[in-house]
Amino acid sequence: MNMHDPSRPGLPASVTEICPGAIYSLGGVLPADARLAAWIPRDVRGFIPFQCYVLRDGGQFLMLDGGLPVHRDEVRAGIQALVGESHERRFMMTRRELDTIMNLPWIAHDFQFQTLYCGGDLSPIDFFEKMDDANIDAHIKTLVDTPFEFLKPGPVGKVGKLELEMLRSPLMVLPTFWFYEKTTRTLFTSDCWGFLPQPSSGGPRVRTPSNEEITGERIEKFLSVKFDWLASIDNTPLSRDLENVFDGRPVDRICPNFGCVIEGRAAVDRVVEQTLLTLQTMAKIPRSSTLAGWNYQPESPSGAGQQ
Amino acid sequence: MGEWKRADPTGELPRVVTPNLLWTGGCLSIEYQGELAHGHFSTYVVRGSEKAMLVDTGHASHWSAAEKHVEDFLGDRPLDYIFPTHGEFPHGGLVAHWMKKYPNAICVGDLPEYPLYWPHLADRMRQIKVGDEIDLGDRKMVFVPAIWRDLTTLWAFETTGRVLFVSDGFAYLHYHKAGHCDFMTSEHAPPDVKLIQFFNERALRWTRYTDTRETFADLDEMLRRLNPLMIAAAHGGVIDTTAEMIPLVKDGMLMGQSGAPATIVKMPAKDKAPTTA
Repeated sequence: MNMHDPSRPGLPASVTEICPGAIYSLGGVLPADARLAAWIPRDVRGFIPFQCYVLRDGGQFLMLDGGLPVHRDEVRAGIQALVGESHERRFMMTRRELDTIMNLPWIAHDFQFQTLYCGGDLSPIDFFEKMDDANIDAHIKTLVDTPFEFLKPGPVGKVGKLELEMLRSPLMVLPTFWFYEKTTRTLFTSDCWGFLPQPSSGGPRVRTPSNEEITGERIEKFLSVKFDWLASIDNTPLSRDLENVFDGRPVDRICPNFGCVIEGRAAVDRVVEQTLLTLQTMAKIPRSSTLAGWNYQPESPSGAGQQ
Repeated sequence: MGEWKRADPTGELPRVVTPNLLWTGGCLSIEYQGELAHGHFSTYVVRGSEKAMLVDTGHASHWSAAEKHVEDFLGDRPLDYIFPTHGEFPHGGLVAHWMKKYPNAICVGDLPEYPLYWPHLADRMRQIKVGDEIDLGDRKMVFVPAIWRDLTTLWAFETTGRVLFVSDGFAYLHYHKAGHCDFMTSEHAPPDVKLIQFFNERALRWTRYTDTRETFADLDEMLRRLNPLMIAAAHGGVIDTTAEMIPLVKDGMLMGQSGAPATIVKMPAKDKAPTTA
């Protein structure tokens, strides 16, 4: 069942109700231009929604990521419309990158969030993770006054009747966590699977794509932008990790940080199937030289050098 | 020229590496296996005869110190360019801080998305790519491919001092204690290869799933062409013993030896790194 109801009154244009009364996207739309080259293949046309998400129920309000600063007004309007009299306000981040937490300082301050959460502790024996946690901890504490805690993968509590589980993302560049909401069967995938544009600037932001829109070629182009390291590697373990995410977790919709929400079990299943095939395809791509096309020659490469 | 002598390390950043290269930022310390260990989050300033460039914006917790260090180093000169090597917080998260402090500075990088983060600064941002050069007067900054990276990244080569800035590459965590933060590689014992591996397996996730020796031919070719005197990493000390360090750094890119739970079995040894297409 498509739970998206765009006709629901009383919400600003920057808010899309994903699951009635429970899950919303907040954000804005950008034309698929060069500014999006960090995430979107250059030949994509149309409009790309960028969003964060709100889960709310029973007086609890939880934000997943904070949206882009260029959409500050849209995100603010969305929070104002949804926050109501909620007595418990939490913020969780799927990644520790600029596109997910740049809005955090004013969100936490202006809307009085009680607690901020970040995925951490990927491996308790891991020196680097500890260092990376220390890194982000220092960053967040420099930016925001609100108490800050690390979460480990697993159940991370309820938002009213909603039950949220944090998962390690199998497809990531920097530490990334996906979130699964059990009662609505919604998977929040951060920077993954944002390959579906809006046909017009006015939407819709929730789509059930046809099979022709969910092809291996399209997914490969998308993965090759930010996840280009997936090419020419043995990604068997990643495929296994991806399958494990969906093992025992029925998913009716995929909610990425950018690109349309992919609605419908059949569409989700096809996305996963095509992604697994794409990983196999990408593994077979011959490694290309990073230096291809780089012709620079210093004027005196063997000189003594000056200070 | 030739009269300047580098001061001995003080144990803390900043350090004036050459008259025209400042190393600032700082370390974050954590307790690890009962010992205090450090990891660098470095920022550099290249001062040309006409223009000056900041390389990486640094960690937020080091801002107030780094701001002062850069100010002292530049004297009455402004900072002209801010170059985040890539868009990760320790490298590019303080762009707005530096641009506010130096209101005529231009942010340069392969960062097309940055105007979406700081729309009010969009007119002071310039997109650059591999092969581009910025003239600082008596030296240039030449932007070169990043061989080892996570997000889209540019490395840079300073042509007169022959310094290669390598962002997340050549990183090494070091059991250096407080007081060792500004040591160059010639001033401390070689870093533990296992800690280089630890870093790379986590910071450069792809290294867990592939034979990184396939990247060594590119590295060797770049080093052959540039012949750097120093290599300046964001997460390690300044490398001034390149010949000694490069084999160690390469070993540090090999997986399955760090003691960490390796994800895949290490690939069989090859006689020669494959030539890439």
